Amino acid sequence: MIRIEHLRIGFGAVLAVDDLSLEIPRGSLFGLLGPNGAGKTTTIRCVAGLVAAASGSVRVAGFDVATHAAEVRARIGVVPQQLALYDELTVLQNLRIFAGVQGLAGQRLAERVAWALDLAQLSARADLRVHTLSGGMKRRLNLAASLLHDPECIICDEPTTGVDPQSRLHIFDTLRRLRADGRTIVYTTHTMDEVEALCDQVAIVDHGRLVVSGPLEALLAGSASPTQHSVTLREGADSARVAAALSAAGLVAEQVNATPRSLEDVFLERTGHSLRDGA
Amino acid sequence: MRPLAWLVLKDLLRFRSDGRGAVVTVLTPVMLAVLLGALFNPPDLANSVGLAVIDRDQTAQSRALVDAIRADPNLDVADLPEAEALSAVAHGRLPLALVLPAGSGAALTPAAFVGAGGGGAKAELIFDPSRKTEADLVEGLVTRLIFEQSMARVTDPRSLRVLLTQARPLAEPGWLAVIDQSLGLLGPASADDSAAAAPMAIRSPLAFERREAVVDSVQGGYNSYAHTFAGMLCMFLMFFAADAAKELVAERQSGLQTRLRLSAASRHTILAARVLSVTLIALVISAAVYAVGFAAFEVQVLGSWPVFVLVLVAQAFFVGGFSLLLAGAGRTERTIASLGTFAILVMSFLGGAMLPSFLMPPWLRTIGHAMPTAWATDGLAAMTWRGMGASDGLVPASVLLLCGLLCAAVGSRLFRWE
Repeated sequence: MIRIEHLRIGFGAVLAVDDLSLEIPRGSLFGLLGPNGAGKTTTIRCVAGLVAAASGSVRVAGFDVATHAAEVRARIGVVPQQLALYDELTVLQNLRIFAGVQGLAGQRLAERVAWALDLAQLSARADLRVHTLSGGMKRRLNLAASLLHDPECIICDEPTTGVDPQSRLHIFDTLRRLRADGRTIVYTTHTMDEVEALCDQVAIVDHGRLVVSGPLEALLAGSASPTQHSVTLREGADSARVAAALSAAGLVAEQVNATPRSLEDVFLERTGHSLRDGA
Repeated sequence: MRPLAWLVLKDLLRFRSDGRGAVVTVLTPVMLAVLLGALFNPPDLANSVGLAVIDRDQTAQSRALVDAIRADPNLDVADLPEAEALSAVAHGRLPLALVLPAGSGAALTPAAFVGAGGGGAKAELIFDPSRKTEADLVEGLVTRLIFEQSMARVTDPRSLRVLLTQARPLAEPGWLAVIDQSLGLLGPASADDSAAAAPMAIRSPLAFERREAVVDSVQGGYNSYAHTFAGMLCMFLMFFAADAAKELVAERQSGLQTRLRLSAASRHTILAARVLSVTLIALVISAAVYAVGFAAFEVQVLGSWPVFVLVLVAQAFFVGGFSLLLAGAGRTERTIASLGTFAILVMSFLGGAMLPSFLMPPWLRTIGHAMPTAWATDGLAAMTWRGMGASDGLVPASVLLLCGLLCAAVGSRLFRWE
């Protein structure tokens, strides 16, 4: 569905994306991970045609983003991280306006707006102004507003920021349903358990480059150790010493639990533990 | 075309959704126009000089002067007892009081014109210190009335005989023959010469008649409200433009513009829709403000109605373009606020939107003509109180449309999407 080849994007002297190549299969639920400043948002914006590439190419459904921007825009729906809604207008007015701006009209517009209200489960609140909705409702509306033109590919940029668990589950269910309908979902987040719960394909980028990519299960299985141990100690000690010291050094452990290896472990193993505040 | 219409509809709905804001947008220019209109209303300024007249002399002459003061259309005499009148002036409830002391009547007789100046009586003008201008005006008006009263008596034949007879011993020898000849012409004193007693009228050698200037035979009517409604509307439409510019930048920061850019609407459509929606809202505000002016303040379109509407449309379009220029030049809401306030105040002042341009020195008026605001206020003045022909409104409308286009083009170039 999306093919990225040798993509380079720079902002002045800073190279945000450096020779990135990636393929996102049609119908996949694809998790795009990376620390802050890794280049994932810039990559997404380039796929959406909002940022121009210095070199390389991006194709969506066979259309080159650089030369067929309108065709690409018609095929993708971007769910922004911010709540990109008109607060002072009602839910229905927001949806009608966004549908109209997408070029829908008449019966088709009415159908898609009704579909979006149902998707967001906001039909009963259609006439409420957006500023009166809860954070979770706004998130659902934010998602629905991006799907009015029925895109083949949906790009979600941290769509669950600040929502309650129920709305989060609803968003997950919605994305799974959309994927089941044959749409391709690209999901970016910092929350590893979200990707583990939702995605079947994962790519990790760092410093503008692809670090690893492939099916989630293969990534998790490919690690040297399938499990790790969690040890709660009475006194401080680094975890590398614990396994060797437990039997040899005579440290008294209250509890030792074996837990499955998580995606977060893979992520940290690949990108390191240092903070990445800023680009 | 459809995305453009939806984008415009979105802005109109957002404007309408803030009901109180919309009302204030109309009320503020109306309120300031009314206040400034009242301030510069010439009839009020000339007609309402109120004063109390205290006649301590109570002679026929002093009463005649008081009657003349009452009859003067420029003066409004308050009938108050002396103590109350003086208190009213001291407390600022009345601008001034004129006190005619004992002996004032004698000062108005022909005899007072002979000898070493008057009868020694001095009228007193007591005024509120904050109303000195009105005191000057009243002093001039009363002096004129005294002059008229006195001269009327002097020119009565009987009074003239008395005056000449009394003046004869004081005259230079060369004037004696002229005085005797004049006395001969007036004839001998008679106990029954009432027919000749009517005073001769004294007139200024050059009479004045007031008439308002007219253009193309259309009787204009200066109405200070017509002036201030045009000015305040222009100024507050530009403040509205600055608010719209800030909103546009806020949309960029909130991610709404990203959503719009990912839609079927092109960047040009998004910006054109913004100019169009600001133009439409500015037009609605203009209609509401002028509706108040027409209904309550006798503002009239004495020129061409279609051209008046065209000037309003052109002004609204300029406001739309100006809004985009500010959004492009300002980039952040804070910069737009400071840049906008500066530009609006300077343009409003120089263009005569804030204060009538006739109050400015000529060099400032010349600079003012470089401002779109000057064309807007001139165009509206031409079509309202000046009652000028259609061609006098077409030029300002064209200039405003061009300025709007220029602002929109430059603003579009400067506007940052990221």
